[in-house]
This record gives sequence, structure tokens and C-alpha cells, in this order.
Amino acid sequence: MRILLLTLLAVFAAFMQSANAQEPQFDYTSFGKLPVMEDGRLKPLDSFARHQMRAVSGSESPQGVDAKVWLARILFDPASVQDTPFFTIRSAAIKRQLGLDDDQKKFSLADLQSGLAATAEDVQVYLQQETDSQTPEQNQLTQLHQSAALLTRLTQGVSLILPLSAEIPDDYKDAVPEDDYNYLTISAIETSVLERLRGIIRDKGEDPNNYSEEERKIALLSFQIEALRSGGGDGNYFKIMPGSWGSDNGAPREWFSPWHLVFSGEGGPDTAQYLDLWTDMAKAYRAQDAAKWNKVTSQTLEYIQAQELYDPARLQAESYYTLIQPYMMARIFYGLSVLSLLVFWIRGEAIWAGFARGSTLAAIGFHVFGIAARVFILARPPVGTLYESVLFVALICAILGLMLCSGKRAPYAHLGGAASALGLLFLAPFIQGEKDSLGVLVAVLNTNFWLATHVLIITAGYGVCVLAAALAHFYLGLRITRPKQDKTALALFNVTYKISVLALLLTAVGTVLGGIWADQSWGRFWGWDPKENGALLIVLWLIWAQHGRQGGHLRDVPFMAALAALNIIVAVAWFGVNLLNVGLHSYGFIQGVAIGLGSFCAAEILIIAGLWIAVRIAEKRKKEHVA
Amino acid sequence: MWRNLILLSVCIALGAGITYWLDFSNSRGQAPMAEPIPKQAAKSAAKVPDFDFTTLDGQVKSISGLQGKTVVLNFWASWCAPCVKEFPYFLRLAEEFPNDVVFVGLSSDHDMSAMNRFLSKMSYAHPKQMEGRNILIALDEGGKITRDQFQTYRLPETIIIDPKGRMKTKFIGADWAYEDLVQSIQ
Repeated sequence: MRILLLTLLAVFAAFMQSANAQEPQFDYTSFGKLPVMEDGRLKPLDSFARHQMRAVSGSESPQGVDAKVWLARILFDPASVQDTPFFTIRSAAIKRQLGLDDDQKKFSLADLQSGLAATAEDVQVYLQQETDSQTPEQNQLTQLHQSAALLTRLTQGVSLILPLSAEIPDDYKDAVPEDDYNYLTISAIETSVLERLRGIIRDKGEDPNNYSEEERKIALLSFQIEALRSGGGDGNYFKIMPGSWGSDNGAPREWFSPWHLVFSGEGGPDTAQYLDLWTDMAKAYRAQDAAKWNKVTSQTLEYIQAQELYDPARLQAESYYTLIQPYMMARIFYGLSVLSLLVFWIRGEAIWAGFARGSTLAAIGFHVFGIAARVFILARPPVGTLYESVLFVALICAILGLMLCSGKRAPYAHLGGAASALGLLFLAPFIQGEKDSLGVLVAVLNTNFWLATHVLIITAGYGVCVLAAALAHFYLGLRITRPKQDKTALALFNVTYKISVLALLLTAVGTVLGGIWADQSWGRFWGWDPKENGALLIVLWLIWAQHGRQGGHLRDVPFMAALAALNIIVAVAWFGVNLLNVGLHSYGFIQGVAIGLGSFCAAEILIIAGLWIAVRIAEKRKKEHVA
Repeated sequence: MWRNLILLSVCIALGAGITYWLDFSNSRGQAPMAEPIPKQAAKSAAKVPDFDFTTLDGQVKSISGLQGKTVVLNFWASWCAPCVKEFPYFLRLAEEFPNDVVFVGLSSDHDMSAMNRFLSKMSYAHPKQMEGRNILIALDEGGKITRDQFQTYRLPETIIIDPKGRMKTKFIGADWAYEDLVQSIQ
């Protein structure tokens, strides 16, 4: 950490000619569309910026600042970053530990520097521990250090092309372009300058007071070169440069940070031109020349697109996906739909049912757009991660609920579908956490055939199970006030039963297909892996309930209670087994949901038991009344 | 009841059928292995950008004018130890393939005298090879070709350009075997 801070100081010292980054007429559209490689995936700079901003500040748009504008300032004007309050600290204990003002919430890197340096050794110890074994304060402090390190890395992203305030020694003025000093231009004299400095130190020692004016310039320039190179030259984080040199085996070109490209020899004539355009961008930004900035960013985008290294349409789609936020929109419309259905249920006015249908259709539209956009952007079937399975299951619930809704008479299926979808869409961000939701897949999943068959069928099965469970809850609630022979109750029973049969079909086929995939990937059909056991558990539960009903052992209320409890079985199979951290399904491991899952299961048991008891009491009273 | 049993039987039969088909239609364990890539070599097929350079005897040459022969374009400097180490191998290559290969050595030395001092030593050690007509050495003043055009900031680097003027292979650094170099020009 100390090295990082020292490097940051050196970078700030080098770029003391701070630019004023408040011009409103700058157009960042083309800049936001430039490609950058992050976590093994090429994405638009806009997405990268949002991700970095969230990692540093905890929000994708703190105080309404556009992530692209934020990133441009960090990249091209790193000196101004020093005093900008990027970090939010609420914990009084952390503030005390870092020696910060207790009344303040927002802090700059300058505010934090001494505190971070003082706690660097502690954080090294915390980093050796499991996250679960850290106290909340230790965890927050570690995250703060990581955010500061990330911000420092970003300031070094393109530091090799930023203008330097270096004073060139007279002996070298002919060797570098006049008034155009950056690391790359002065690298021509780097070897010679460092050699000269070694000679000066050998002859006159390390005290600059003993040096002549020219020797001081050489010493200062050497220090700046070394500081820049040690800061930027070690990292390969901001991967905006495609390597010039592919391979014969058809593998796609690798992408590198500018520093790494230059040091590793991966550059070539095409990347030289591309880096020149980035240099022009930096100059335009620092000169606050909006017209030039707009022109150069467009040229840069045109240049990289003309190289045909990637499909710009995919990056464009990601920009729209990020802009529209389809799941946020879907949540709003599902919410409206649920509210309208509740009003319809209470007041019986048909207009509310129509409004609910319209809202659900709009929500499904956004939901489908979100999933379709992900399929296009990632070029793979829609379900490959736990997060994506939540999105897909929510969609299945909503579509099936709408399809089964019989309008005015029984809005339960519609309500169950919309409410389940809404709940699942609220759950999804917690499952995803801070990670990029458009992440690449682990190798075992990266086969489109199986993702399009086994995973889709099994997750569709989960969706149908969730809907069946929701309807079973409604049935139990309805039976408190209405008899078994009631038309609505009968209709709801029949539709729930049919949905449960469909759930059995999908989960059974999905489980068998999973076994076939396991045979292909791991060489065995069944290995009693927790995930496999979870899927089997759902199938067995459904078979048990169906057989119980067929054999007359489970009458209407116990059968519906068994279907309502399907929610618990699905939750355990879907999320619970991932907490065990064992087995070959390592892509599904998650942390921190044990309490939530336990609470959900306990609440469900209480609700189902409560409803069952309430139905029994209501039936008993009715019998007593009749008698 | 019967309907459910039939449905379950169909699912099991379907699963068994797919397993059979996948097991016998897929030759497992024969995944194609990627060809190993020489350590220091990376390949490209882009056209080399044209540039002019002035040789030691004052002739102005262009890289496009060398089309029809394999060009070994080497970026070097006399102060760069690995460059000095690999230089004799290029001389040997030029001697072995006098009609097919042209060696172009672009020096990033800060001044002509440093470069000439090194070349004098080479002439002393390898007098016959240094006289080859297919050896073209020039000073790249200000790094206009080396750094600005080819983005070479760490010396040495060597690019093999095929007779059609396409950049075929790049050797980064001097840690390569002479056989790899010969193979890359053939």
C-alpha cells in the first residue's frame, strides 16, 4: 500500500498542470463506446466506468455524476483526483482508526493517505483471513484500501501518454519533440538519462545540493521516469489496446493496458496509431478543447471499429442495456400489476384487471428485452449463472401466470405470477452482489448446447414450481373462507394441480439431461453432488405429492400444503446447496445468503402451517354450525 | 394415472436415447490440441507500413522496395546487450540466404558515432559477413520508425516480413534459437 501511495504522489507531482474538467459541452458518447477488456470480456468503456465507479464510490452515479465523465477525469487529469471526495465512510470506528473528522462522511484520497499508510500492515493481515472471519470494521477497512488501490490504478491507466511537466535537460532537447513531453516521447532518452544519473551519483553522491542546474534537471527527470514506469509499468488493468500479434491457432487477439503493450512488445503499427489517437484525446481533454475532444473521440472509435476485432453491435447493445435498465423497469411494472390486481380483487372493477394485464405485458416486454439483450451481448443462452437463473425463473412465472389468468373470475394465477416475478427481481441484485452481471462463464458451463437444453429446462421447472407454490398459498388462503366445492376454489385447485404436473415434467427431464451433461463433462451420470441431489429432491417431492393425491392419502388441503412447501424445496435446491461449497457445481457457490434462506424457510413453514390450521378451524366451525 | 406413467416412460426413453446417441456419436478424449507457439514469436498477417531509411553508404531505401524477398527487420541499439548478442546470428542468416533474405537493422542509438563504433567491431569480428549486399543498416533518428511507427520501446525486436510485404512473425527479445529464425523465413 505504501508503495502505491508513494507512486500516486509521484504521479500527481508529475502531472501538476491540472486541467479544469468542468466543461459542459464535451460529448462523451463516442468515448463511452470505446472497447475495453475487463474480466475476460470486451465491454464498452461506459460499462467499465460504471463498474469502477461502483467499486470506488459504492454507487454507479454518486451525486448524478456520469461514470464516463468520472473516468475521463481520472484517466486524463489524475492530479485533480487527489482532493476529490470519492470515498464515503459512515463507520465512526473506521474514521477514528484513520484519524478522520467524525462529522464528515465524504473523503478524498488526500484525506485518507496518512490513515491508509498507518493501517496498511493491519490490512495485509486481514487479507490473509477468510471474509467470513473478519469483523465488519476489518471488512470495511479492507474494502476501503482496495478502493483506494483501484483508484490509484485507474489514475495510472494512460499515464504514459499524458503531458509531463518535466524540464528537459539542455543536452537532450534535440532528442525529444519540443513541448510534447510524455513518458513515451522521453523514453527515447530514458537509457541515457538514467546512465547519466548513475554517473552523477557516483561522482557527487545523492545530495542534490551538490549538483549543477543541468544535473538537477537530469535527476528530476530520472525520478519522474522511474516513478511513472514503476507505477504504470507493473499493471495490466486498463486493457484498451488490442495486441498487434495474433497467433496461428485462430485464438482471438489479446487485449493489454497501454503500459503492458509497450513493455511486452505486443504493440505494432496498428496499435501505434491507436495509441496516438488516445494521446490526442488526452491533449484535447487537458486543453479543455471540447470541439477537438468530440472530433478525436469519434475518430478513435471509427479507427478501432474499422480494425474488425469485435462486433460493435454487441457493445452498442450493452450500452442500451445499461441505459434502459430493463429489470428496474420490469420491477416497476410488475409492482403496478400486483397493486392493480389487489385493487381488482377487493373492488371487482374490470378496469383494474385490464390495467394489471397491461402492466404485466409491459413488464414482460422489458424483462424479455433484458434477457434477449444479454443473450445477444454474451452470445450464449440466457441462463449460465445463478443471477441469470433468477431472472429467467421470474420471467417464466410472469408469462405462465398471465397465460393462465382467467380475467375477472380468478386473477390468482396472474397475481401469483406477477408477485413471484417481482419478488425474484428484487432478489436478483443480492444474488449478483458487486460483480459484473454480464460476466463470463466458468468453463464447465461454456457449452451452448447444454446451456440451451438442460439449464433452460431445469430453471423453467423452478419457475413453474414457484408459480405452483404461490397458487397453492392462494388456495389455502381461499379455503379459509370458501368451501371445497366453491367454483373459484375448484378452478384454482385444478390449475395448480396442472401446473404441478408441468413442474414435475420439466424438473424430471431437466434432471435427466443434467445427468447426461455430467456424463459428457465429468464422465459419470450421477455423483450425488449437492446440486444433483437438490434437483432430485424437487422431483421426488412432486412425485410424492402427486402419488399422495392419486392414492387418496393427501386430500385437497394437505396436497396444496405440500405444493406450497415446494417453495422451500426449490429454495434449498436452488440456493441452499450452493452454500455447502462442495461438489463440482462450483459456479453456483454463494456467500452470505444463509440467514436470508433460513428466514425464508422458517417464514414459509409458519405461513403454510398457519394457513392449514386456519382452514381446519374454519372447516370444524362450519361442521359444528351445520350440526 | 396411466397418462402419468406413459409420460414418465417417454421421458426416461428420451433420456436413454440421447445418452446412447451422445456416447456413440462423440469421440471423447480426442480433443484437438492447440499447436505450440514458439515462445518469443507471435504472428500477424498485416501489411508492413511503408517507410524510408538511409543506409550507411547514403542510399535511401524503402521497405516496400524490398518486396519479393524475405525481410528480417531488426530493431537494435549498440547500448543494448541482448541486441549485441543476437547481431552475429543475423549476419550468419544473411550469409546463408544471400538471394532470399535481406537483413534491415534499424539502430536506436542516440548518435551515429556510437553505432559506427559497434559496427566497426562487428566488421573486425565478422569481416566477410559484414560485406554482404543483403545487409542494410541505418540509424533511426528520433525513433521515428522504431517507436512511433512500430511501437517498439523495448529492444531488441525482430519482425519477419514475407516476400509479399506481410508481417509474419515477431521475435521479442533475444532469447530465441537460430533454428527458429531459419524456420520462420522458410
